[in-house]
Amino acid sequence: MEHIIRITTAGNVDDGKSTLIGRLLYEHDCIKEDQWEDIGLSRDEMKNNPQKLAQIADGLKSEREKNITMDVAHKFFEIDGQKYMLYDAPGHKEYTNKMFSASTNADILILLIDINKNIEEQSYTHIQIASMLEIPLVLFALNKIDLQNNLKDVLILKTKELKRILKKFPLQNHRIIPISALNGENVISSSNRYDINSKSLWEEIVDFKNEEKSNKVDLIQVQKLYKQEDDKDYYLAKAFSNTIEDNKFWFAINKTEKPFELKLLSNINNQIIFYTKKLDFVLKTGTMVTPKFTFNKYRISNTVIAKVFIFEKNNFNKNTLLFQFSQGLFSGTIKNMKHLCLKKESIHDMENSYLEITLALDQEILICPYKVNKDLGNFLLIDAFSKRTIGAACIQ
Amino acid sequence: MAKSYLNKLEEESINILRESYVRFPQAAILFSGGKDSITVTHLAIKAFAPFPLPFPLLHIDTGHNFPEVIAFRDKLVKKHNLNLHVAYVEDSIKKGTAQESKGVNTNRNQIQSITLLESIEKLQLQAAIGGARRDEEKARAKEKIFSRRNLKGQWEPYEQEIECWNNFNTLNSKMYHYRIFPLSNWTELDIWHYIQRENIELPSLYFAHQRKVVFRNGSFLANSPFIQLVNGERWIEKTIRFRTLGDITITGGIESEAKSITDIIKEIQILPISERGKRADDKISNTAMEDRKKQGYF
Repeated sequence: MEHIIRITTAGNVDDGKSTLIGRLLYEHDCIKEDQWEDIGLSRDEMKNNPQKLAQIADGLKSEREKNITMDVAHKFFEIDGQKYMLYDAPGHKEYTNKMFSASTNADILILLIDINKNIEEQSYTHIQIASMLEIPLVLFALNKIDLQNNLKDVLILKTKELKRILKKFPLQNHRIIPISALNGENVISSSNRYDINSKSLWEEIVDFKNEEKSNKVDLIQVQKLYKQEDDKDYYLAKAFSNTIEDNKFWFAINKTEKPFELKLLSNINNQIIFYTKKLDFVLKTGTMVTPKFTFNKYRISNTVIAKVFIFEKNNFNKNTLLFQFSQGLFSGTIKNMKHLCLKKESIHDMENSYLEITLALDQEILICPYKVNKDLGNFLLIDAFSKRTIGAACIQ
Repeated sequence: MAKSYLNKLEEESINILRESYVRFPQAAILFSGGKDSITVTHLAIKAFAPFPLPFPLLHIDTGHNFPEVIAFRDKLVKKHNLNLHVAYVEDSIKKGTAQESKGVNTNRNQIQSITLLESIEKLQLQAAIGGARRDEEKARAKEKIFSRRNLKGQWEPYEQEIECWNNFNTLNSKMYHYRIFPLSNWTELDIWHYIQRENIELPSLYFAHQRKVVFRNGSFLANSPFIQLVNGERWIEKTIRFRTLGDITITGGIESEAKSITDIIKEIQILPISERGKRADDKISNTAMEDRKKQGYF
């Protein structure tokens, strides 16, 4: 096994997300005896009471009382030697920030949609998020086919509607899969009904190949100056490259035009400690360091163009924002703001808005597009007063 | 066989430990002597090697210990020249800040939160780093990696900051205290595979051994001066091992013949009970862990 596959489940309220998670864990026999005791049912009893499957996706006291998911739950399971991590995300509009956060590290997003209803606003929002985050695979699970008598026609209509939305918000890869989480049809093994012409949800997950993006960049990011000796400075740092030892001379971006020698002291999966001869400056937390020969490869600028998702309507004031990049916390001004949403009636309502912005930072930084490196290519929008994260962005 | 996912988990944990140091230089590692806090300590030593570990260890001692755990702790501290603080629940009881409940099933697990909060204040810690994992229990499944506690040390699950990518917002550190969980995304099996790969030493209690025990509330409790027999209970000799380690009065053992890490890995894969399924402190109610976390537990 090479990697852990990270799956996020999301969906509109009542589209059957908890039932699906219950179904996946039940079918794969992931529930232990003491956990069945907590649920108050036996495995056999569950078989005859599938409407209780949602109880397996158990939450906190207040979530059980309200019968909704209010924050992300993390579940782990291993099937046929492959490890999976499941982020069970809330569906309610007011918890969209949590669905967003759960999707930032996802390899696969399962988007539950009730096939018997219109595609609702929250599902549009989830598609926008998946598009912005460039999630490698989105599985549209069109749920509740057990309640649908005219499946073939409805499936054609729904597929058409989804394709129309995806023209505006393109995804890396997607599949449309009709399922019934309640009776298990097309969830684990594929359905043999003539009008369901797709692999099952689980078969799509098994077929997913988690290919690490090979977009390595020749960069080191300083975490902190850790130790100073008479003639040497030691730094904790993260490497985004595997070729550290091949390069002798390095530049600190934004710091100096003068190259310096960098030597590696330790390297554990790219978490490194390096040292330099005493320089006439100290490399600050967040400073990017690059080999001499790639110095001209990177764009250094204070202008950032980014796709942004704003979660909070109350705290959004574009004049009181801070921007937290991996390179540090900066202030700046939003120069341009263009709404990318389909359904926004009013540009004044910023809750769950999908935007493209042009940002002028108060200092120059290394601009690394999200496509090239997710860690370097994202930033948070933080309200300067409450210090809350009110939005997140991917650099274009 | 090389397991590259272990490298990924290790990389993530070391990044979290270093980020903890960058943000909260006044932090401590909560050390119980269990496999998870031993693994966190191992990762932390590795994260800063060859330099000394910048964090002290903090052990909240309930006074109801397995002697093997205390001996192991002291040996580890000596081997790596670590800085250890021990805070005693007994001291909080003597001061009157903690009150011990009475009864046959009483334990000090709940009141150790009081001693923990007192130590955090005394040592002026900005953050406490713990070995809790999300796969252990349903309240822990909801945890953030950088988890905020209010100024009374309480967990407010719906007041947490969202965590996007590895870009953690801890700017509100004056308003909150932090608990940091570098092993959030590890499972029990990952821990064992990693212990095997890294050849990490553990207390002997994790491996099958003969012990005098009493069968109570579905598990085997070890003979100790802190447990009184009731209702015809009797001490019996069994070959057991412990799957988790904590206060001796609540840590239930399982019958096992697993004498090596390879045996343990095989055993865990087929055990019908979850990891904390034999912990009496989790069996008090369906929301026992959630309730304890809201009182200040980690």
